[in-house]
Amino acid sequence: MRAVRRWAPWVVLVLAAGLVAALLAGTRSGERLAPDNPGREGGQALARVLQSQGVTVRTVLGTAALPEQVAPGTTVLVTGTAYLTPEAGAQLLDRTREADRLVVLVPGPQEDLGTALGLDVRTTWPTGARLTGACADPRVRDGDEVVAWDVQLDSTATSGAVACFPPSPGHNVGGARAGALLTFPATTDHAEVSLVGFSSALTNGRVTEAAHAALGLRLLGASPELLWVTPQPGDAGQGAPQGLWDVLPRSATPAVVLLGAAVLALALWQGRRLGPVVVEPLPAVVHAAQTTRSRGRLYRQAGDRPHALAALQAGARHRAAARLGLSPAADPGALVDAVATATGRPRDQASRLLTDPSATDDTDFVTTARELRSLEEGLHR
Amino acid sequence: MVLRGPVVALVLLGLVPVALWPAAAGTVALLWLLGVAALVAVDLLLTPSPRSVQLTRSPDPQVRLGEPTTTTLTLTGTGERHLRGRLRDAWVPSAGAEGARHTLDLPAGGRRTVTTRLRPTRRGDRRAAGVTVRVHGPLGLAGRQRTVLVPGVVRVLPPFRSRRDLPSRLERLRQLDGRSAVRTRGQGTEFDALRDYVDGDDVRAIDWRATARRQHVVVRTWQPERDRRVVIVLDTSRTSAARVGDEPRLDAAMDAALLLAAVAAHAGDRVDLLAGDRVVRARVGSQAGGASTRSALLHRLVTAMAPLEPVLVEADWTTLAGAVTGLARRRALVVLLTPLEPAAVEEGLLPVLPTLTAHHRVVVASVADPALEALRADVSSLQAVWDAAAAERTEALRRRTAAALGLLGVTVVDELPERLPGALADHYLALKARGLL
Repeated sequence: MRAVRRWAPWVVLVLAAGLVAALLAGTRSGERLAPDNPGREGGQALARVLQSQGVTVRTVLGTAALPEQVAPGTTVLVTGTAYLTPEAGAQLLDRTREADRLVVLVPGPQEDLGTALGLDVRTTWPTGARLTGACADPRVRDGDEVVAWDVQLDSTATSGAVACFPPSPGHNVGGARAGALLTFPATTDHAEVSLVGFSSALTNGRVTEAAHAALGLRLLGASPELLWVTPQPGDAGQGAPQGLWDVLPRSATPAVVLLGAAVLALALWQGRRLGPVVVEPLPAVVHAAQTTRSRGRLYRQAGDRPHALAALQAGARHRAAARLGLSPAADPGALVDAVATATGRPRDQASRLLTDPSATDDTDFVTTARELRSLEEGLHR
Repeated sequence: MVLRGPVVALVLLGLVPVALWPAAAGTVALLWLLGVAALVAVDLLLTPSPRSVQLTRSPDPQVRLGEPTTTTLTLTGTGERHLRGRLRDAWVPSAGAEGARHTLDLPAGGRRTVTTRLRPTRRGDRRAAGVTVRVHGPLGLAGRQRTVLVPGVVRVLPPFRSRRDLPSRLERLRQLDGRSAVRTRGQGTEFDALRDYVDGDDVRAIDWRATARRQHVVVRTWQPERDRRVVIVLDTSRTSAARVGDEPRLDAAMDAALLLAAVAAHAGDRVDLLAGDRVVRARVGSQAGGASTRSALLHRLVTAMAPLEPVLVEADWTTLAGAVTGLARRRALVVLLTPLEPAAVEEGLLPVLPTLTAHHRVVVASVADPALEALRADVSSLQAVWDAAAAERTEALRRRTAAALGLLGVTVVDELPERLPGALADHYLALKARGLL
């Protein structure tokens, strides 16, 4: 029992540490639309289905990690535009020039998206709740519907872009290019570029609604290989902060050093005692009743009811004899007679209580001891 | 070396220049820290040595347990600088030192005293642990400190709680004195004086020869025997170390010994105290009785008892009995203050007792344990009943041991700690009244 109490906290600690390590070591990602994120905002569902359809899905951390030149037969998916500066955009388009297609998911209205990518595109807040395809893009079929979209993408007729999912069915008839999916044909500068304004529709949570899954598979599954790029802060380029360190002011390190020195001084100031700790020479503490308690435990471990009961009865007989004025060495029979007379109890009951040390079980033992006590109290009345 | 609070503030102040010149922040911070370190070093160099204080302690106090006392340190500045700082007079925790931390402000060549209050919580010699002197530097940044042992001890005397029983016992003693008749006129009663008969005197006490010489009826009076010897033996062996309530049995036994010694000294008897286990640890004897030495005797008794601690060894009763025999050639009342522990008594004491009972009247006074009675009375649960049976068994063994002692002519006084002193004094007075000393 003591060993359990001693080791239990350590065992619990090790188990907890193991659990935390297992959770941390898991290849789960919390990033939106990451191919290994199984949460509602993740993109694992789409990635798994594409893999099962024979598409090789490779995860790339950041546009900066793309190979110098992406080989033909590859679709490149960029899941966000937050770190897309003009420099990064130009680099992205340059590196994906040979690829079959570049798909960029636009998560929301963004002022400088057009300049970042060098394309004729603007973003506005979306209107309407349910969009239908209504365009000539071969990947969009009649009757395809999208019920979750984040941004409306606008272009002009001169760009040659094809706009699908316009905000209203007849919107693009007059030559306007507006919709949730905007596809720019390939040029010498870049591959075919699709800007997708319904990235929410491709998340695990909503991919099963309407035509979302079909659209996703058609957009991404056209080539044998898919490079799934999750943007990283480092994509933004040399000028932008690479991490927390770049955001902090230049004097932070010396300030931290000073604070550390102050804490050290505080510890030295407060930690210095005025003289050593004085210890008390303590005596051994032994309680006089300790041996008696140990004897009680011995009785219990041995289950020695006859001896224990005999001791209780001997004590009761001694006190009763003193009480009734008999000699302590008096014959037990005479004592039982006297006790029975004094308490008014039947003689055989008094005899059993005072002289019979047998008890069948613990309950009988306790009951006999208590009856013996009440017999004694009857004498004192 | 000691750092002080302003150093922390000074280091933190370094944040200001760091914020003002962010371009060279690293250099600024480094220079600032070096500057602070240099200031601390300078302050440390300028600090006077704590050795330039000479410390002397007032004479060691004596105090009864539970009463307050004080100890005074005299500081003398032997250097050429004014000393400022802190001083701590450390004692072991059971000495109960309060206000042990003092402010040090000592001019060069000056003299100051600091007083620490003590309220000890344990009997015995409680020692001073050391005096720490911390001297602050002139800049307030650093200091130097040193701990020296200035020997000191407060001797904590037994509390003598049974003092409250003393007046009633002395009253009973006065009633014994000067009684016209003693029921049993044994060897222990001595002829005191003749005086006029008053109503209520025993007619058997009339001295007819004296009455014939005078016109009045004259009775003889008797006084209890005087100049008897009482030897109190305190057992300091392992059985005395066991605790009854919150203190060892030894402390309760001391209380009983003190009351008995006080009463016997008043009655004009010689009191000797022996304390020991394998060796005799304390030995106090009274000179010829007298009012002036009575309080002196009590004082010597408590002083001898104060440092006694129970030792975890078995008592060697042969040695103790030999010491008693060496002390009292004449017949004496020998009071053995030893717990009635069946095994220890039967193994150690019983074989030795006949040599003592042959010459002396022997009383064994034992401290009973109230916890035993509580254990015996509790039958509320199964474990309680087992314990009650064990307590009954222990009491039966004690009774058997007491009976064995009784067979040797030894009287056993086995009482709870608070009642033992009174019971023992009463037994002594009863023996005195019957002239059995």
